Amino acid sequence: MKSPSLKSCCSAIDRFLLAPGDLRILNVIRPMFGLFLAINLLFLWPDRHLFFGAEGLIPDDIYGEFSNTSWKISTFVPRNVWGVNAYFLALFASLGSLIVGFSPRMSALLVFVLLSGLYNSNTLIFDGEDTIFRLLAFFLIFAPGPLELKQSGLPGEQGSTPYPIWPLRLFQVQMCAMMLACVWQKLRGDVWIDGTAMYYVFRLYDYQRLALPEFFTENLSILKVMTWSVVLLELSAPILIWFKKTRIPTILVLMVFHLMTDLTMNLMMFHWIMITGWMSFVSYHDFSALFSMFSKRDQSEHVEAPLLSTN
Amino acid sequence: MKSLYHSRPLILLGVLGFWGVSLVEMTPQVLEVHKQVDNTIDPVLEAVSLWQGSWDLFAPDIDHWNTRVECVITWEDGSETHWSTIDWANASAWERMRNFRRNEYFDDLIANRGALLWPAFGDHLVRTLTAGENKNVRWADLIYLGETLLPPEAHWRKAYITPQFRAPERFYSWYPHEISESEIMLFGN
Repeated sequence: MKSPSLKSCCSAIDRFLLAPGDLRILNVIRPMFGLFLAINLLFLWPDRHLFFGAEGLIPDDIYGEFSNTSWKISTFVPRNVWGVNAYFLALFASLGSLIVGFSPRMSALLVFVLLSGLYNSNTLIFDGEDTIFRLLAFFLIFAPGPLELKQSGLPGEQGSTPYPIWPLRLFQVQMCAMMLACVWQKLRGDVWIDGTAMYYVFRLYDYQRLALPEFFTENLSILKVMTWSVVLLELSAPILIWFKKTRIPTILVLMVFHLMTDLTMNLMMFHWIMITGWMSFVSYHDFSALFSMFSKRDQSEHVEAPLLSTN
Repeated sequence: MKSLYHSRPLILLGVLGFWGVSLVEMTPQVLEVHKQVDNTIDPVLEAVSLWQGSWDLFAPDIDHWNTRVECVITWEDGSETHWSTIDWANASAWERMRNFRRNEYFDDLIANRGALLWPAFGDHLVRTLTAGENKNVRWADLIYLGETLLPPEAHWRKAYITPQFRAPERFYSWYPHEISESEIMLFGN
């Protein structure tokens, strides 16, 4: 017989993972993911033979040293011009299919397999952003498609058999765990403790994008405040985002943080895929309310014009 | 298919199992037992392409240096052709995006395992830079330029300025064929 505490723990886990949920926000996350990954890969396209072909920078004699033991491009096609082109085109086709929502789970599976194969083929040029893309692709394999969600209905609707919430939880927990792990790592480093981390960040010339005014970059006190703010945000956001009252403000702060950082630092699509991940905390109801607020404003402008003119 | 979504044992095993191994992988290895468990699950996660590492984004430390790689090709007639990685200080937003992946590669080229990459990189540069030329290459030197960012209290360096690189350091010489010591002495490289 289970003890009361174990029983309540089990039922909490059940509620957290298996309670019926509104998963429609996944229909927003899916195309966002596909679009940002497509942009990311388009920047890789001109260098595809250089980084993945046997005639490029990683010839066969050192291929084993700079590729993973898992499946890779050479598992499916030869590493020649034809093979690399075909591999990329297959990946783009899968992404297109994912974006438009055609057979979404199968498309996500294909994207995950092909994307992982790409990353496994060259361990030199990929970083944290690519790990997020790969993991989100994996989670999308379990995300029911738009049609399935429509047919199953919503929680509370009569005659509905809604999906459990766990496919969404995969995204949510990943985002929070990742951010907390980042804080943990940061707290082990001197520069994040003494507050000089942002001093170095603004002086790494390969990461720069738009220049901030000197007020921010040439004042050590301001730089320290910025450094500690990052740590504070990364520590608090993964906690505050779970509470209803603090969720929306937290999401807004995260969005501003990612967009501002993207403007000032060149990290490719890192901040865009982070925003995509955080979208898992936005309810579809809130998203569509925001969406319709803009579309209504447009509509009202279109409607009011002829009324005014007839008066 | 839909019944699998509601299968409690399957979901608990799959989801909690995934989060469990992710936790082991993500958190810094403080205890020996943690390290042992991590070493056991790492090959499994790599095999299924679900590894994620410890999320050390700009942490625990941040790079304290700016770098550039250059190449000088010396032709048989004694003339030289120069090449270098992008000048980030003057690059457009488009060039920055375009060169992002290449920069990841160059970071590795001058890092620990970089020596393995040098011959192929030399081959590639010489092949690219000599295309259409009617003269032969004598050798090509790969050169590293670096700037170390000192702590602000030791030396305050302004942001957004062109790095003040130290004297260039040659780290690899490419030759079109196996070359003897005497030949190196003869050409003075």
